[in-house]
Amino acid sequence: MKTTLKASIRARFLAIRKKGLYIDFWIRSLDSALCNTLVEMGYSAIVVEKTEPDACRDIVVFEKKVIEAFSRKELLSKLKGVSRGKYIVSVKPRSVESARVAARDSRVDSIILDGDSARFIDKHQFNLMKQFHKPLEFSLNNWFRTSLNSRVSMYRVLYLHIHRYGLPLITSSGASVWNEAVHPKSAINFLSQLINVPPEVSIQYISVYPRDILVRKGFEVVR
Amino acid sequence: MNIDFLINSLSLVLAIASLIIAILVYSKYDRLKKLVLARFIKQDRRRIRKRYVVLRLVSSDVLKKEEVEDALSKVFIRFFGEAGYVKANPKLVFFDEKRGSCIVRINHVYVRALVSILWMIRDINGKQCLVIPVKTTGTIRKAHRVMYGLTT
Repeated sequence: MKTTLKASIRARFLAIRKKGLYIDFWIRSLDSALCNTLVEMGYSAIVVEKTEPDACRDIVVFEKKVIEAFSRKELLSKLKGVSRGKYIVSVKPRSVESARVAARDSRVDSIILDGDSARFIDKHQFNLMKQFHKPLEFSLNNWFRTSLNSRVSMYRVLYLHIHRYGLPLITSSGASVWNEAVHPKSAINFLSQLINVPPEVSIQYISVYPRDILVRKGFEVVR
Repeated sequence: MNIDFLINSLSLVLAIASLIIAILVYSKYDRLKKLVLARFIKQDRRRIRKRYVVLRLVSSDVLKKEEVEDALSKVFIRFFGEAGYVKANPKLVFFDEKRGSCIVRINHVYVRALVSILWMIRDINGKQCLVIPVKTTGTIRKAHRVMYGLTT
């Protein structure tokens, strides 16, 4: 049974690598230079927070809303105006109650992990995220920008998320200029080095889990 | 009487012999362990192999070999430490300034480690840049062929 499972994971890994179905789940702002870089790197779809009109035509682009919420009320009021079918909604929780509401609310697609939100993600939050199938989003540029202490807390959350609770993780670049883009191979290997998972598993964080969310929302990932 | 004496002396001899064997085995434990490992785990006996990673440098300015080498080693040491750097032994063996690509030689165990840190190089001496891994090869000849587009 174990060998069959391993073989199936390996086959899936090879299939994804062959197809090159990589999705960058968070681009802060998109311009033509960044778009060209992402196309060259082999991404097939991207999710963008701010975009220039007609900045990118060679790649499938989805829109994203990032909501920073300090309280339950603020989060609910900000979620009220967001179209569910048009946007991918991600939440940066800035308090325990906003983190809990974000995990429960079906309008929220992912919860962003950064230096400030790491301390609100505890075992109750993990259980809620497990119950409501909410993935955690890990931005590589957030990791790059935060202080060493924040990185320690982010690592703790990531480690528990993957190894103890076995929940889905989504990796994104969080790029806003062309030299902040992250190559899929780099992202896969970085995660496998950081949280000690094989590349066969970490490839899912950049392809399978983001794709699942897009498909669930009724978007067409491949043109 | 004789039989009792014989049994007692035999058991004494056996006890002494087992004690000697135990001491011998304990003193040679490391050697035995090595022998067993070498018999069953072939990987341990293999020598360190080299890999050549072809990298493409996208930059707004022209970059020099020393600058790239310095940036690579700094980032590698920052993430994996000096021990990791010494074990990996990354060396920039070929650099094409015009094409903006280079070949890095590294210990085969650390190829993934090298690829994993490339996204952290964003500027070299104030020049914006981006490092993209193209391919990993086993020989420098093949790396050259990949670099100049002769094979994919």
